[in-house]
Amino acid sequence: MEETELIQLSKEGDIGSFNRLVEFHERGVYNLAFRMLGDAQAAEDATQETFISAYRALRGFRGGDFRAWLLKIAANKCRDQLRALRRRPIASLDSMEEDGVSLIHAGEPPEDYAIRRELGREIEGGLLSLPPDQRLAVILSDIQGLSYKEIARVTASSIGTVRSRLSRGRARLRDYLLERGELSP
Amino acid sequence: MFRGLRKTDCEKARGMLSAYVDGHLTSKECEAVESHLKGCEKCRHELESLRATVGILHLMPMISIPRSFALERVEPLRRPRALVVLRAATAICVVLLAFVFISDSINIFEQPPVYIADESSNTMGTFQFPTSDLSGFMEQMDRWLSGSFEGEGTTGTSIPVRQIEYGLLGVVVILGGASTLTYLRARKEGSA
Ligand SMILES: [Zn+2]
Repeated sequence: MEETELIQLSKEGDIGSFNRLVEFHERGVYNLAFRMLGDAQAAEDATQETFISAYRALRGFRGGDFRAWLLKIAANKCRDQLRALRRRPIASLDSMEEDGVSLIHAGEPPEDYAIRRELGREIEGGLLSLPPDQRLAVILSDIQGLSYKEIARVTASSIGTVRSRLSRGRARLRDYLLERGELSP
Repeated sequence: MFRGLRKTDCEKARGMLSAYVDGHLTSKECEAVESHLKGCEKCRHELESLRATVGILHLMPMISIPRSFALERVEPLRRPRALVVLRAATAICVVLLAFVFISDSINIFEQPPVYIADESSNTMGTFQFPTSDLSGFMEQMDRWLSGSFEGEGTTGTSIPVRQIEYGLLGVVVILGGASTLTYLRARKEGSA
């Protein structure tokens, strides 16, 4: 069944159809939340809240890019979670593995995995060191693969704003990685 | 002089490198960046490290989800109880205020309708409200606005209409304000 059809059925209150949409998008939403928040529990909460809000607000969806619409809700939920997280200490990135987060690729030599895992942590830390607006732009562009236009839609900003946030965010992340010797200068 | 200018050129170029990597520069901007890069090793390094950073980000794996986020059932978004109560109270007060004000303007609190035996029309009498016409109403508004209502004209009244009106108006303003605030807060929380 096509996405538009599932959306229409969901609008009519068919939760089964909506859950097909959830299945299709939950990974993307969870990944955005996890990269934004650096905390598995907060990411889980933000993801669940995103789908609850989306279901309730679905009547307001007037067609177009459903993923962008969903990620916009997710970005708002992340902002709420960030506010809540600021009130308690940020969970250590060492807990990633314990939280069931696996970075390993099938068939990868263990030493490569070890290097990549270390690098992954540095990037996590680097992303979390960015201001949230820049972090969101970098995650959407370079991890989730959205276009400038889509990012502008998700963040309710202009293409020019997206361009400058990405520019500053990437430069800052590059400096962060250079300082830690993760990039050869 | 040349150095200063050159530094500005580098800063300009560096500000555009990110969009350059994505192919998001206008052809004019693109030319400017490329011609600068030809003559500036530092900015070429800058471009390389930026490309490396983006490349690393592309390699970041998608994390698997810890559980399903399918919904079991979703309660329809209910208005907060406080909002319902506040709205009802506001509505009741508005109706009361309107009732009191209209009743007051046609003077039913003041004098009972007077039966006037009209002598010119020999048999039939007419009922008249003492100040039931528009001019009476306007007069009353004038007195009400000038605040000198407690003078003549209300002598027969024992009900403190004025105070009730002012009181109700105050209550309406407060309740209306409170329900507006509650509504705005609920909307902010509920909307995405
Ligand atoms: Zn330069």
